[in-house]
Amino acid sequence: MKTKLIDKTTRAYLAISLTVLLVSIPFFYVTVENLWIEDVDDSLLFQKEKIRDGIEQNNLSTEDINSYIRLAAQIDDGVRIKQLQSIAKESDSIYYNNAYDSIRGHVEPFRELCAYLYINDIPYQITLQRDLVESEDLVWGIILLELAIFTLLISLTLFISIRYFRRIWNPFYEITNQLKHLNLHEKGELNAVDCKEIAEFEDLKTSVNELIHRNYIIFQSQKEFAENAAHEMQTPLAVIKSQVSMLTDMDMNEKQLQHLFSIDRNVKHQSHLVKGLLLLSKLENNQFILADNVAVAHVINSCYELVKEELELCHIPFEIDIRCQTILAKSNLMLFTTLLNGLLNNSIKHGATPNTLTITLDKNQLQLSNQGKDTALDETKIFHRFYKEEADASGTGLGLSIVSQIGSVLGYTIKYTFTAPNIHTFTILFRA
Amino acid sequence: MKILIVEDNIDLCQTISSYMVALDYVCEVANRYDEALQKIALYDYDCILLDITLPGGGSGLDLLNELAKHNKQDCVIIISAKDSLEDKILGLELGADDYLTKPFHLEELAIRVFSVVRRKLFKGGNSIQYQQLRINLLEKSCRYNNETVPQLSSKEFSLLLLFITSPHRIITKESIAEHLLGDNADMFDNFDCIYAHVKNLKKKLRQAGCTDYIKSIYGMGYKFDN
Repeated sequence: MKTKLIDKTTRAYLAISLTVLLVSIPFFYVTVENLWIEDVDDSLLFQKEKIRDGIEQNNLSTEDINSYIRLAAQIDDGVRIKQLQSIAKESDSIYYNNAYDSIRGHVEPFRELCAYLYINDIPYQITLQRDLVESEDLVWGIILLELAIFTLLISLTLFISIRYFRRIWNPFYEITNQLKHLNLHEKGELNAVDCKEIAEFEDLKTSVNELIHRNYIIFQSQKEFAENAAHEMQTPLAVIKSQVSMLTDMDMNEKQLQHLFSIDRNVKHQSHLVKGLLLLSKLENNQFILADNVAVAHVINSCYELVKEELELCHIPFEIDIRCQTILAKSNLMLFTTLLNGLLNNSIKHGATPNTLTITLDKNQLQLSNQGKDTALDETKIFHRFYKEEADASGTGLGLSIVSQIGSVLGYTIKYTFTAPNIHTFTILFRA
Repeated sequence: MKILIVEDNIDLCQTISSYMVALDYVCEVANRYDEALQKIALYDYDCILLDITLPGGGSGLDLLNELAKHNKQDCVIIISAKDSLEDKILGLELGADDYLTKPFHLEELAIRVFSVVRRKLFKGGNSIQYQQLRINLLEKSCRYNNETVPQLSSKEFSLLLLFITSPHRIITKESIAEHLLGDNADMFDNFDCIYAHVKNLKKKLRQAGCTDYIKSIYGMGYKFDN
């Protein structure tokens, strides 16, 4: 199953969008969180400076500081100050620390600043805490918002592209549709297609039209050739045939009549040959429209009706076994009848005596068997033009090649099988 | 009965014409489109034999259009080498009564002309008489001197009609085969089917007392005569 154009583009578009979305989420998360932590760190450092400045500017005594330390510890608002004996490490450090939040009642992530400083020459360690619950909320909020915007964007773009797809690609679909149903018998160009909007489609239409026109001219000239050839070749034969006919009316003796009838027979042979070759050339040029619904059982019966009396006279039993009322859509009744007659002709002419014809129709195939020679025919040759089993055969040698050519025009496969002792079977497979 | 033969091949025109004259038709000939156009405008014909490919400014199909335009009721049989179904269908749609593909046997043409004219002018429902032989075309039955001939098969009946429409002439086995079987004519080449058909027809005619109408000519053909 081939993908449709719109599915293909939509799929590619969706894949790219989703990839970008998935890659962007962690990236976005990390970036936003880093920015937030930087902010938190800045604010912790700033708080530290404010505490120091506050103590220094107000000239607080060591007792005041100690009571502040005590109060801060009691209030527990994230500020802890501890007096040290000495400072081993002077630089500030900022780090994550999970701590129990007494208000929320569980452990929460915190960002902590640990700074060392001298106030009134006494070393202190200040620890400032800021919880990160808000930051997580913010980050999640941002990510959800991003997702929402992204989804909205994708679905809107998809909606618009699908909606406009039809309109934009309409000329393309119309051109392909017209090509599918193009009938060179009727016209050599496409019906008007509005391609003004898109330059590529205008180009396509022009090129397709040129191509069709060239094909139309070739098709028509071949058709004309076949018709003119028929006229030019059959008319003289018609003259000969009618002149012979006139001559037979004059008092002729047996010898003279024999000559005349021999002319008549050969003219008939010649005209069959011309007819067969012209039919082959028409088949090669696809001059037949496949638009009939052929009821195969009906065709079999009407072909049989035509030769019923002769089959009886010649003592050839004809068994018809119709197991399925097969109807072939998009076929050509005239060609199908010619095909069946061709096979019938072959089975009767090359049949043994006695001969029994059996025709079997199934849903997917039609089989015609007859009794003939004891050896199989050469399957590689029987469908060739002018191939004859016997050198003196009266036929044109075109019968089976016409059958095979019609088969290929109608899209059927024609098979030959031999079953011992002498059954020759031709099978038309309707689904090639 | 007046027939117009519209055909560009002069030899063919002459042969058809002399054949039809021998069957008591009055024949006129036109070899070109313009000539034919003039003739159909001036005269009425019982039957027009019309070739499709014509010199002189138009085709046989154009001529059919002209006939329709002038509301002419002439019977038309297209005789064309173009064995194309489209032409056949188009021709019949344009008002032609029959379509005969070249080359044809003259007796085939004779029976087609007979059938078409009978259908159109006598509205089909009548019988024909050849000497004491009376044929009812509707019932496909046949009487000889008021004696009923046993029911003929459909092939035997059309064989009898072929003989009656071209009496006193040698009709070859080929011609009979083509008349009875059309495109399938050579299907039974290896069997003497035509002989069997003729034999059966003769037998049935003999049962009604009608003898010796059909004569075999050196085993090559037959002649309806008495």
